[in-house]
Amino acid sequence: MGFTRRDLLTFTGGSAAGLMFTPVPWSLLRDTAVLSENWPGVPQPLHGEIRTRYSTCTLCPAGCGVRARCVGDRPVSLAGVSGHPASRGVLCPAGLVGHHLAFCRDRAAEPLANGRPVAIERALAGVSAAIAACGARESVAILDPRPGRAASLVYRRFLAGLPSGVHCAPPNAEPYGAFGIDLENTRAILSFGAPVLDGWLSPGRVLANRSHFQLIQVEPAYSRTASLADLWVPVLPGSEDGFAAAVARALEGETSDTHATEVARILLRNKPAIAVGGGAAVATLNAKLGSVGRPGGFLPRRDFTPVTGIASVPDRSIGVLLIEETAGGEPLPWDLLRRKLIPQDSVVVALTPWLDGCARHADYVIPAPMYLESLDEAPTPAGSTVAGFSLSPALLTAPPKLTPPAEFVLRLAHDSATYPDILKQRVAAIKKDGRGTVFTYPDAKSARVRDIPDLWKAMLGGAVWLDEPLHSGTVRGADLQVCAGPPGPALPPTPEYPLLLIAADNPPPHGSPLMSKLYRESGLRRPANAATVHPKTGRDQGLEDGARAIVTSPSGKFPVQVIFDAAVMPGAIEVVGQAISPASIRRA
Amino acid sequence: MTAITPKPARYGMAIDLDRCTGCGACMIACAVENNVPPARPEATPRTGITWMRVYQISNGASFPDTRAAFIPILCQQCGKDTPCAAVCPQEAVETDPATGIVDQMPQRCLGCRYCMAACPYHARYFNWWDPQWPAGMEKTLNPDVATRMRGVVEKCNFCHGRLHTARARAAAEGRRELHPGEYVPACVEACPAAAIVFGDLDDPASEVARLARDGQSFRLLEKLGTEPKIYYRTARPWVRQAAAQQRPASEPPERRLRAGLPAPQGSGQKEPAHA
Repeated sequence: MGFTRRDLLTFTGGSAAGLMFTPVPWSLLRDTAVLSENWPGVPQPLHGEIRTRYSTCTLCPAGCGVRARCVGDRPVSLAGVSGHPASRGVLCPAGLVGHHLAFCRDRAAEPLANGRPVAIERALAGVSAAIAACGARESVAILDPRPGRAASLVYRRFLAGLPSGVHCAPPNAEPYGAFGIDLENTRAILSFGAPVLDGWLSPGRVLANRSHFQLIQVEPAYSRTASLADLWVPVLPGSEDGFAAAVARALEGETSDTHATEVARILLRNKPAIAVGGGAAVATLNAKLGSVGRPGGFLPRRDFTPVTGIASVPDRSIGVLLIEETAGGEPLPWDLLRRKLIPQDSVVVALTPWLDGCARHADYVIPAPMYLESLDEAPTPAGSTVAGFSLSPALLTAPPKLTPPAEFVLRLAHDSATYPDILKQRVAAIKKDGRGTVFTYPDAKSARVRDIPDLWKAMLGGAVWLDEPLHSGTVRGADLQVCAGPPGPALPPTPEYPLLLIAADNPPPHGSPLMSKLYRESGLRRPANAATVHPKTGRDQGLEDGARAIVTSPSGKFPVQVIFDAAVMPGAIEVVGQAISPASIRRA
Repeated sequence: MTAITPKPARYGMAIDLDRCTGCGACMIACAVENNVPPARPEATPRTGITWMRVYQISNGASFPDTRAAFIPILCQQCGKDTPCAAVCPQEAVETDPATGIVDQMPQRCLGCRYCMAACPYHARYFNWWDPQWPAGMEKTLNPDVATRMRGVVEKCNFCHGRLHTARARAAAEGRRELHPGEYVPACVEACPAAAIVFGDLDDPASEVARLARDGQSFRLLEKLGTEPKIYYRTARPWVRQAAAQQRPASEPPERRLRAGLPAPQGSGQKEPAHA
């Protein structure tokens, strides 16, 4: 009996079918799938020597130390520097992805004049001509987001040479003025709306000391800080100053307000205590608590130079306004700035890494380097009780056509110095004074300034200089500026505006696309267009959960998406980053 | 790489919910470490990838009695009858006996998503799209972790790449044991509140073992008997009760929206409005 063609087909077919019942094809499938990792189009990480480089974060005033894990020279992840006096080894979410900012789509890439690309020389000539055309009554102002830097000195020198130069700062740029907060020795914090556990001062320093102090949060919204405070006192929007005054009276046993009495009892039991946020009544409360100029309270430091707040600049007085925006800063309130400009005859120059924010309103846009793209500086960390300074060396290669804001002003002043020259002068002055200590990031050690032979080199390698404490001198309670709180009392609701608009949260900072994605998918941060209301309030206004609506207040109207949440105060509308104001909401 | 056999361990975490501020630094550090790409605009909370996701939970009361807490959810690293491993037809899920880490091997994964259906913690994510980064940003990827392609499932693996690096360093120094703190996942390192403690649960001297034995510690869905290696801690009874229960399908939509949670299957509720 021969082997026929039919036998061959039967054998082949049977073998193929039988093979499917063995592990062989499945193992082959499994083990060859590894090749799919290298299919074209699948992004491949760079490989190379792993190095560690150091810098200092300039995204906010916290001044955190940054340890960058790099492949070659390119950072692939950022982390905190262990033992750093301000950040205590941690970075905030925005700082963790700071190296992604350079890849954001809405960054400014070339100089613009009235929205059209121009050469930097032409932009410089245009701005110079506008400044030269300013009369004696028209001022030239520079809005400096972080006064106290070497760049600020450049701005002041330039403005001093003009007939009417104004160096000004945004609201709350220097919330505690010449004072720092001795968090390490504080035993109680009474916060009037300050986001103590949500990015306040240097978050690492605050959280490292959290177990040492009682936290009382006085705020109409149930914020993140309120949710983790030892006591949350919900108050009506705009009544914070009144409550502060009641607590001040309760400290002397002069009030019948039960909440204020309870708060006063906690403060007296946990001394030293401080009050933060709020207005004039909070400053008075601090004076009564004896928290000014004493350990555990507000301590003065050396480096403070007063700057005019933009709100104090007369309306319709600025002919040329140069606005510096930082990479991680919140957009400045344009309505406030617009009031200060001479109508229809003013020139606005945005020195910014972003195309949104003030750049949308500017006649000239001068693109600034993004965070980590050029040598920068971090002044005294927010809330520090001693003066400080650190350099923020570049870790990324900057694209062409970018000009650091201080460099642009130096060129306007026809000064041949460069921004790095100015930074070198600052470091040389620290070395010459010989005061204080330097904490170096690579070895996490402190040394006296006079013991470091090449301070500039040490600073470029990652270091922060800290001045000696200044605990001498006369300090009065009235010296303390405490303006970082909610604005004054809101107008009462009216038939036209039956509700109250309150701030739900800080506006999200400019962030990496990765951060935006994670917050969006987790719902952890409310989007800027969300209006959260109590379900009863929403239904009373004829709204449904998820509806599109228009919020109207005396200062304007804006579209929102409604979210019902029983945690919101009835009669209030919580919107990210809004000031307290009467308002109405209706379906779009 | 090394001829030295590492000492066995059973890695786990203790997460203090009374310290968690809900900042999301853990989520972000995790995504950077593990090369999770920015999502497509059409991604939703269900289809996006977040190996670690922080939820906001509430006591359900109305203002001013409302109370909230944040709870980070990641793969719970089940130690017994691991549901995802039991259903995987491709052996793409394995528990490493030397570490207790439940590993996902995307190279083996066929994308059937049985594991996602089996996971009681919803801690697994499917790649609905090819990974894409904005131009130039792919140069910031972590060289120790491969990117995953469309069609596979992925999840937290306690930053396995970091374990390999720490082991290699120990082996180079002739050590069999890792020093405490020598290997920590990215989320642990990034947490600014130090709310996450990581270590060997079998080492009675370790901080994580001490916290796991603490009377304030509990695990999610303990009644399932899967022996998770993630312990949560809180002194607030309502947080403990909320975390111990399955999320009820009748929960008000506004609460789900606040928590960023998807609506229950078949309820007809929409995705979060801001997703």
